Amino acid sequence: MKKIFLLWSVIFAVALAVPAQVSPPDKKSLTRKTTTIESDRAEFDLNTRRAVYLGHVKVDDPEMKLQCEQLTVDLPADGDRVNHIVAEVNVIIDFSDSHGQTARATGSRAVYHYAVTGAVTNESVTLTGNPKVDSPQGTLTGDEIAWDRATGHMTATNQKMIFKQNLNGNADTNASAVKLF
Amino acid sequence: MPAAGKYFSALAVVSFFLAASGVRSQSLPLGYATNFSSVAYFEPPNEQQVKMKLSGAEASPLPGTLFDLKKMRVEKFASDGKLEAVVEAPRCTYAPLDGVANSAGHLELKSGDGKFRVEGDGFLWQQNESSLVISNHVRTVIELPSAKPKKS
Repeated sequence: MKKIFLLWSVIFAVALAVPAQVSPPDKKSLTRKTTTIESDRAEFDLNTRRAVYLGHVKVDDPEMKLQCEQLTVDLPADGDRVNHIVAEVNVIIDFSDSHGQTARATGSRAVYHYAVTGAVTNESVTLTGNPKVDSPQGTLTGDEIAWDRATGHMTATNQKMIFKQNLNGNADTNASAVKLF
Repeated sequence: MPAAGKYFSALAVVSFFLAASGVRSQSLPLGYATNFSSVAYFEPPNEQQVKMKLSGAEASPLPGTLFDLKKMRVEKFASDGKLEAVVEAPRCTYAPLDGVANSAGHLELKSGDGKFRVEGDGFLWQQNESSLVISNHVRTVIELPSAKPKKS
């Protein structure tokens, strides 16, 4: 889940995502990682400062894997940090949370937004288009699912959360899900 | 965020590639040439520093003011001499008057430190549109430090 927050932040957070405050990273927290992006095609437009990856797009990162059909990255004119990324069509994001449990987020569109206003950093991800997040604990669906990167809060409009009941305390249980909403 | 600066690096590399056209009149031989190389320098006060070096195994003039370049290699340097980026293509057709280069072959772009790399098969570079299209099997590798933000 961390990586989701790292790579995607929501722009259409609506009133769901709470603005987050993030302190600058210290040097000790820096680690070197490799991210690979594969696609059938790529277009770089320097006038609009936009990079578009098209067709069977796969982003492979140590903490997450993303698949979609189109990935659009807008490059800021005056900075070194991307503040807007859009993944479209059959978006699948596989990630692990801090406990090593894997989860999968799907939707037809995912939008990452990053902005700094004064000392406040807002970084969020919004999933739309039949968004769904599957985790060992349950399934979250809604009209729109928004993540706040710094707080870790995940919110949804018209949400439906289905918790997976574990009667035996065994993660592999086949127990039927409990519908809470 | 790892993906952030990475794409900026991508832009820098692509910019560099596109910038190669800026010295095209100095970079290409007028006729057939082998093991050619040409160098462009910075504007004063760094006029002694190499800005870009274009080299190749072979350059052949084609009809229509085109050039067939083999083993093309473009190196872009900073004003302090540091290698910023390298672009390599085994073969491409280059139209210096139009600022267009294309090839069905392979293309590799990488930053000077090798931490950002893009490669693919088949490309079209259009200087006037400031666009670069890589048509097939695009692979981008980014190696950058990533930070884990802390909540304040």
